[in-house]
This record gives sequence, structure tokens and C-alpha cells, in this order.
Amino acid sequence: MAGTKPPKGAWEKVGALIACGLAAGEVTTKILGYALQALVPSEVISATTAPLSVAILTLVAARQKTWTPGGSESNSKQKSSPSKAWTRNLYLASLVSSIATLIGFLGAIRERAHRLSFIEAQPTEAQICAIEGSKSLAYKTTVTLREPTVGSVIVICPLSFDEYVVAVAEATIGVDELGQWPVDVRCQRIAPMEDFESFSFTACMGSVSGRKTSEGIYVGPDTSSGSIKRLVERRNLKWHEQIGSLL
Amino acid sequence: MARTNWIFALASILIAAVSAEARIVQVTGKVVEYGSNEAVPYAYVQLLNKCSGEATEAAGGKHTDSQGDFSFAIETELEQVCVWVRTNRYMGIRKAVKVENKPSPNVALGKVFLKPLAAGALNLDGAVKHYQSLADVPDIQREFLAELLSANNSEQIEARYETDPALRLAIDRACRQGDVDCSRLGARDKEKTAPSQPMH
Repeated sequence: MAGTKPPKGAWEKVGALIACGLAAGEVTTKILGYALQALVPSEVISATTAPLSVAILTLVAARQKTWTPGGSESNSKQKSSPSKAWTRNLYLASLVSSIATLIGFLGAIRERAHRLSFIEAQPTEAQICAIEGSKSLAYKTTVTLREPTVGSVIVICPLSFDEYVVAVAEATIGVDELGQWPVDVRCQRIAPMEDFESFSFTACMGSVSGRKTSEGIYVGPDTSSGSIKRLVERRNLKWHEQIGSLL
Repeated sequence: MARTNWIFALASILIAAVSAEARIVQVTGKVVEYGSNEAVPYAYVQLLNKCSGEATEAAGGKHTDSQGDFSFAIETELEQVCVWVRTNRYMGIRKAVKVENKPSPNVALGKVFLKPLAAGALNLDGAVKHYQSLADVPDIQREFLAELLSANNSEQIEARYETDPALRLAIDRACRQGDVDCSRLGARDKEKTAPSQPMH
């Protein structure tokens, strides 16, 4: 009968276990974070460290079949089983911490992705470009720029040498067309006339050789030094940045 | 040798002085829609001193007629001007144009193609000057303001309404006269002013 009673001093035991575990978990995740630096940025790992260690430790504690309140391995007679309620509480704590880990992770990648500038260019058959003769050479482009944008000039260029951007149309914010880019006449410039974080337009393409496929475009703010600060394509973002930008 | 240099310097100063003299520049052209080639009536054509950067100044402007044609004379001493065409529903266009070095030069722009904005989007930059230029066609002016107030990106208009006294004046006057439907703007206005009233 004495064996089924909750062990004396179980609170202290659990407390000490969690405290030790937290310290151990912190060290482990720091090492993990360093090892996984290439895969996940450290700021994301640090946001998930604490809840993750709590989740693992409470899970380990809940999986313990017996407790040794005496603390000594030789004193095996004092071993006792934790109550069902205890085990359930520990499992629950583990679950809650796991959810906290997930929220921490998603929050961190979201915050990170919301500091990124990128574009998304989809080939489309835009009616507006039909006047240029070919229907297939058009890109519906969305620019997401997390920098001050009023007064900036955005340059749209073809990736291929024998293509050129004929026209830019259907912008979703007020923009002014500035015409060809003096540095490279295959590119067109537009100047957004209002502040934006994200806007779209359709770029009509032409080709010197007259082919009906396009290799794509690149977009970036003009830097006045005669070069473009090229924005990364959304599909080339890292996996966590892609998830984060959707949140 | 020294004398030749002297004459040369004097001559170049003289040429510079002559070319810097203000001339009457005649600007003509027609504004049409890209794709359909249809005339864009009552667009606003303006001459700026330069196309980009800060401190762009307007030398003058005029709206196109009902056929999209424009023709106006402007006195300027600039050798290169920037033609800026704006409307509410189209993307604006800025085009640098060289002014010929003769007493009364012509700047014939031919067709100026405007590309449409995405459905529902509205261009607001320069709207006030455009509105003011339409004073000689009151019906069009009313339509213009009604178009502004029905925009999808109305939060942009609201922001401009708050910061641009000229736009505010124009809208307020039109609202008072009952020329345009100001219900959307008015509703927001009441919400805004109601909590601040006890402070007065």
C-alpha cells in the first residue's frame, strides 16, 4: 500500500528536474542552434529554446514509470509509482509547451520574413500586352519592398540578352513611367508615387529574335550609382522565409 | 594668342547669355490609351524643369481637350524640359524632351501612350493641380472629384486629404455645394472629429 502513495517531496523533485533540465536544454539548443545555423537562423532557434526544453523535459518526466524520492539508486525499496494525475499533468504540460514552441517558431519566422524584400513574377497572358504582337511574353509581378519607397525608382529588366521590357502597365498603385533606363535600354523604369509595402504590375516583354518564350525578368530599386539592387525572387527564399512570408 | 582667347571667352559668354534667355515654347501632342489607341480626354499635361529628383518645378500645364489633344505655349529658359502627363485612371508618364535652340521652338510630342492602372486603383499624385486646371469645364471637374472619392485605395485619399490643404479645400468646397457624394469621406470625418471635440 505504501508503494502506491505519492512520493514524499515529489514537488521538490519535479522542480529540481525541470530546473536542471532547463539548464541542460539551454546548452543543448545553443549547440544545436550553432550546428543548424545554415538551416535556421539563430534568432528563430532562440525563440523556441525555452518552451522546447520544457516540452522535452516534462515529456521525459511523464514517461518515468517510477520515482526514487531518496535519490539513491541503492535504496530501491523506496521506489514508488507516480499517480495517474501526476502523469497526466506532466503530459499536459508537455503539450502546452510544444504548442508554445510552435507559436514561438512561427512568430519568429514571420517577423523575420516581414523584414525581407522580394518579388514574385508569374508569366501571364495579359490582354494589355497583346498590342506588342505576342501574348506569351508578359509577367505579372508583385514587388514587396520593406524600405522607404516614396521617391524611389524601380527598374524592370529582362534576364535574357535578346529580350527587352516594352511596357509596364496595370500597376496597383499610382506610378509614373520614366521610360527606358539610360544604363541599359532593355529596362524600363517606374516611380511609385505613394508609399507602399507591396504592389503589382504587368511587364510586357519583347524579343529581338522574335521567340515566344521568355527567360524572365529581374526587378530592383535604382541606386543612382548605375546599378540595380536586385530583389530576390520569392521562390528562391529559404524554406522558413517562404513560410514566414505567408503568415 | 591671348587676344584670340579673350574673344573666344567673350563669345561663349554671349552665346550662353542668349541661350539662357526665356523663350516661348509651343508644346503639342495627343494623349491616347496604350493598347486601344483611344483618346484620353482631360488628362493633365505639365512641363517640369526635370523628370526626377527633388526640386522639380512646374513651368506650367494644361488639360487635354475632349479629343485628347493638347497645345499650349510656355515661357521657359530651360534647354531640356520634362513633360509629365497625369490622369486618375492611368499610370503617369514623365518624358525628358530637348528644346531646340531657336527663338520660338516647337515641342511636338505626337502620341503619348498612357498605360492603364489595375482595375480600381487610382493615381493621386498631382491630382489637385489637375483638378484646378479643370476649372473651365465644371462638369468634368465634378466628375473628376467624384472619381477621386470613389477610389478603392480611399485610405490614400484620406491620408492626402489630411496632409494636403489644397486637396482638402477642393473636396470641402465641392462637398458643401453638394456637387459630389461625400458620404464616405464625411462618415470618416465624423468618426475622427467626434472624440476630439471635448478637447476644444
